[in-house]
Amino acid sequence: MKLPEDKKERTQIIVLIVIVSALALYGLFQVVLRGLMAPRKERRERIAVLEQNIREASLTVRQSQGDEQRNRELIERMREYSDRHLLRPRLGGNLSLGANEKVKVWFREAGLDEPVFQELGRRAVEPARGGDAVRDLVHAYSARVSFKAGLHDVARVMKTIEDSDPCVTVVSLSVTADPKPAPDMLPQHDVAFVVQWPIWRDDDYRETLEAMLQ
Amino acid sequence: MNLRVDLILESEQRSASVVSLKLLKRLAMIVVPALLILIAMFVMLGTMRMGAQVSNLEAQWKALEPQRDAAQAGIREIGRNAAIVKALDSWPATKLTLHDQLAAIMRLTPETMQITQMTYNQTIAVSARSRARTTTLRMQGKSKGLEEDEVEDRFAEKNIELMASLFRTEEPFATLLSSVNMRGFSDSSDGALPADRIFTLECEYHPRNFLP
Repeated sequence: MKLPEDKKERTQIIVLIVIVSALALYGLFQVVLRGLMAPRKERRERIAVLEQNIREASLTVRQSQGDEQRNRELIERMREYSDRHLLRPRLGGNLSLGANEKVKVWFREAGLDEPVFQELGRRAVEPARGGDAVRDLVHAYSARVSFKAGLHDVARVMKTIEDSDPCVTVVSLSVTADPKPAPDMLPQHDVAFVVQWPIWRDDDYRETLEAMLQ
Repeated sequence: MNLRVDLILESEQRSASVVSLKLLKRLAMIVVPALLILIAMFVMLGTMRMGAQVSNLEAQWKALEPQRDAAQAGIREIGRNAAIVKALDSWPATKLTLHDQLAAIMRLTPETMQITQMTYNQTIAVSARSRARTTTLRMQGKSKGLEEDEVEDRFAEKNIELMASLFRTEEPFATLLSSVNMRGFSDSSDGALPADRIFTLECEYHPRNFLP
């Protein structure tokens, strides 16, 4: 087949051939290259994901240097609290024995007669809140103590309690005045207070701390 | 007269143009597949290079992932243990001492006033943002008027007002209390003088926030 002699016609045919060839090439590229490019795209995406993961992981690992020491210090503080301030259960979870003993010591130190001790039991310190289960590990053990004494004696026993341990807290106090004080005697008011100790929710948490430090 | 002799057969005639359709066809048959092969090779080589890069990165990730998991577990454990320590630290931090308050009550109560009932109570208030110990103190008592006192002299009422004022201004209550409400009423009990009064003192403490 010959190209036409006429220059204009020849140019038109050549342009037409170029356009058709370009379209054919484009179609071919679409089919062939897409097939070739698909795994390339997958790999590029995988590389991006891996690079980001590695960047973030390296940062996390770098930031966590020294965490072990910090964690150890926290556990040691918890153990110190446990040993010095938390009320420890005896004889298979009995808290009242230790609490009653402490109350007797306070009253003896304050120079007062032994009071009436009534166990109120254990409960969560802070009302339950969603998603704060960790803080719920620390519970409170409460006991009610009632006795008869003058207000000065009450102040004295409160000081003994408050000086004995920074964690022991008197959460309520009620004093009802002696209606008929005996002549020449100091009035003996009806006094009752509720004292609270922090405790572990789980009785064996002290052992768990010890295991964490191993 | 001009004479034109055409000795070439029509089938033997050739175009004088440099670009012929035949040439274009031949060129296309060579150039296009060559171009395609070149591009395909280039793409395949790139893909293979990427494959090697993926393998390298996966090896790095495999080595780093357990370290990352251990670090994250450590961070979680620290957060958990720090929260427990804060819960424990909150005990002394929110504690109010009572012995000094009782001493202050005895000191600030005028001699002609007698407290008959005192109730001190703590509860824990929880809001979306904080937790705090909230404390109230409620006292009831009698304020003695003078026997020769006229009701207009308001001796008993003045003592009640004085006591309320002392609770607002004297330590430790000036620092601890957020509000002091004192009310006086006539005393209708047996043996009470017309000038005697009974009173109620209600105090609210500033809340003591648990450590966040």
